[in-house]
Amino acid sequence: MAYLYLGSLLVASGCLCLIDARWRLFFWRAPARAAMVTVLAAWFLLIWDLAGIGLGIFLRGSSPWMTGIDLAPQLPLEEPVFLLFLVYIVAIIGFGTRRMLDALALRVPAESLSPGGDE
Amino acid sequence: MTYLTLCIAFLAVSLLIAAWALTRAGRLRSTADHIAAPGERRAERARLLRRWLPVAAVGFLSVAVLTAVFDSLLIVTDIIRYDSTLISGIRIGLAPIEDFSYPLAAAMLVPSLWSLLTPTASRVDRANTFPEQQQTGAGR
Repeated sequence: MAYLYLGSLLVASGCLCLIDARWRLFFWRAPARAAMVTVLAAWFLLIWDLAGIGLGIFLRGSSPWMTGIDLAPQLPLEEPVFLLFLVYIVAIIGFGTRRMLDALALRVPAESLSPGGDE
Repeated sequence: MTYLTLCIAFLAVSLLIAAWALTRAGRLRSTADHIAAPGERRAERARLLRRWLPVAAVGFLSVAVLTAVFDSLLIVTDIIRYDSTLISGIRIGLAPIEDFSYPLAAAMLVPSLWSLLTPTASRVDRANTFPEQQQTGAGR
């Protein structure tokens, strides 16, 4: 069961990819830009995490559902994966909301909107 | 330093990045549309804020609900622990209230970075190609 947490994160990320591909919201719309946004935002959150670890706020638990692989003291392998997932889900929900609001305002089905044009 | 202070510091940086993105986008759009009066730039910034605030708000609120549920699970399953002397002790479910600043920061950063990384050329092209979507942008 050591892979339960990591596996759940990866399966959930896969589900986000399906929504992304179906509606061309983020990686399926501008792959390079989406990758840069994701990496930069997750990197910011990781620095935040490392600061918290440095201050002694966060401590790694001893759950049997983690791989036990640590990237740094108190920083399990799962944490950066979680941060990437967090950024991705915020992006999908946010850009999905944008698309739905645009479709509502134009009174057309969301499918008919070009993936561009929401800068 | 407590967890709350740490979160306020990182949220402040996120807010600065969002303000930078909004100012830059407002300036670029004004230039593309050949309007340069300061009042019109302010109006353009306000329009962009009206357009993007719902995106950030829905993104944050949805993920905050997920945070309350899944953060609690991470704590019950002993995936993460906190030093109880460094957190405020205010919790939603089992999740320390400070943890909700992560989705809040992400909701500010994602649209901001997206806008900052949008090439200027494609922004101008699009402004000319999809006038009907610009209309939507006006929030009417």
